[in-house]
Amino acid sequence: MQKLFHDYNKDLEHEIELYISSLHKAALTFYEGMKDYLFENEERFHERVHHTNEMEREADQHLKNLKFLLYKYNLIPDLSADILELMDALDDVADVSKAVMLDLELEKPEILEAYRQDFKEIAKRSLRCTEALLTGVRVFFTQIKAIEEHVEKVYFYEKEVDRMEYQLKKKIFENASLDLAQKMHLKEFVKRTAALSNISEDVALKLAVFKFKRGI
Amino acid sequence: MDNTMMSFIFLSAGLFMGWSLGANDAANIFGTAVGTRMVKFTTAAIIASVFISLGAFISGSGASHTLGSLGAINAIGGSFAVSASAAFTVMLMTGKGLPVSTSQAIVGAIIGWNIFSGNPTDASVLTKIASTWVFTPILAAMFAIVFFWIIKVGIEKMDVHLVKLYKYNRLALLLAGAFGAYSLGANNIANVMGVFINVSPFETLTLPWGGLLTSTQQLFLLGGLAIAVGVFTYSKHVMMTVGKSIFKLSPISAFIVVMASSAVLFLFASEGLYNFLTTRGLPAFPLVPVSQSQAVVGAIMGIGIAKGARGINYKQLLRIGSGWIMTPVISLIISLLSLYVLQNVFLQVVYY
Repeated sequence: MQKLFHDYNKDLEHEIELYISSLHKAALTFYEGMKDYLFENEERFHERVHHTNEMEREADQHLKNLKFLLYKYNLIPDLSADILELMDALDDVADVSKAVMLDLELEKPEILEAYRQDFKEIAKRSLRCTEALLTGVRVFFTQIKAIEEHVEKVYFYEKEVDRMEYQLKKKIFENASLDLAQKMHLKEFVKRTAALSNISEDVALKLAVFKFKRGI
Repeated sequence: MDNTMMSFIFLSAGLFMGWSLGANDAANIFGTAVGTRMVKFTTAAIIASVFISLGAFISGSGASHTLGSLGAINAIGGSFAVSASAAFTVMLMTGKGLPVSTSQAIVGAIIGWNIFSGNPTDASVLTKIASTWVFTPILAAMFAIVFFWIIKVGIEKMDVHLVKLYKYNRLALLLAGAFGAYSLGANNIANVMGVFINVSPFETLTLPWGGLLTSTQQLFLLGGLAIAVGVFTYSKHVMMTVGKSIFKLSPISAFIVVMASSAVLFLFASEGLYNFLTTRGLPAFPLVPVSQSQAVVGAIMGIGIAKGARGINYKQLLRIGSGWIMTPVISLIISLLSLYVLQNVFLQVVYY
């Protein structure tokens, strides 16, 4: 009897919010983890790796829950396919955050002091890019007209990250004291650090399209 | 054969008409809601059946009176032929998946009786009825455009979460559907049982608590139940045509369509509103059975216009419009034929 009057809409709203929050936490932990690695706070870094894993698992669970609610109770029949596509795409945020942390822990790239600030800035801009995206996703569910503003912010930060990524790679390859293997390794980590911003841009593109389907 | 038995056999045409109305017109109320998968068919069918019956029983007399003044059928055999012709026409068009007007079908059939019996058709009543065929979709479109803009502005200002919006929309569709079903019952029971009022086989019943159930009320109740059976057994087929084929509707647009079309039907059925306006010397909407199909199509067009007139399936619209023209003509011809057969083959009295 209780199930008959249970408000599954509220559950879905809650799951969506929890999912976005866990993605945000994963991205934040990624940035803090990068800082800890760059400035050699080893113990804290390992905690961040562990925390990112947890956030990724949490995000996966919330994604599963909201998929279940959407399909089983047919709560948003005409938009459920788009919403699920959006939520699935967002899952890459947690996945990439976790993957980069694990790669750092495993591969232990030697990042020279001259490059630490640049790496930190790229990670910071990537985080801002992701934050703008997640805010845009929240706004998609409430104030459709304000989405454009957040999508533009994502594009802006992604361009910034691209520019900084290129400059840092240039600096690395101009350094005659590094051998090719070191340069390639560092280049790879520059790319991975910037990955969050690329994912954010891809999802922002989807958001910009879905915005048009939300009209009455 | 016993007269009472014969009376009930003749009444079966009205019941069949009720079934046709349920199968065809009721789909207009919940078709958009079921088509957008916001409401399950079973839920829609239950609500439609209950509220159609209530509307028919409580508020069905106003529009019936107008239909009676178009053609006062004075023999139950004639009522049978008229009702059966209209019902058959509706069934024929419903079979083709077209939302047709039972109002137009019954008017065509009544005019057929007038021609057959030599009774003049009151031109002013016919003009009044025919003009509503033109104004109904226009009025529904206007209501839809106004409701569209009110809701659009409201949603933009309120910042309601999408999930919550769909929950409220679902509830609104159910309430609008109930209102629509009531309006349909009140407005269109005239098409089902209006032709039997003068020749009703029922006597006034005294209820256990002392109340009275007049013969007209018994007719309307029976008609309402016939409509309910039509809703459950055949309306799903037509539900998928309305709303999906003319213009793709969102769930919120579906609500606007139901509210706009139901408001129009209510305006043309409400004796309370009619009396309120006439006693104050204001122009009133005539109490006429109007077509819910036309109102829904008009409302859908209104939404299409409000959205910029893009994406309207004009081909399907033309197909539906041609159905509206053919319906009274086909019904008139079938009515003439059936009256002839009933009188000359079955030797039944079809007019006095």
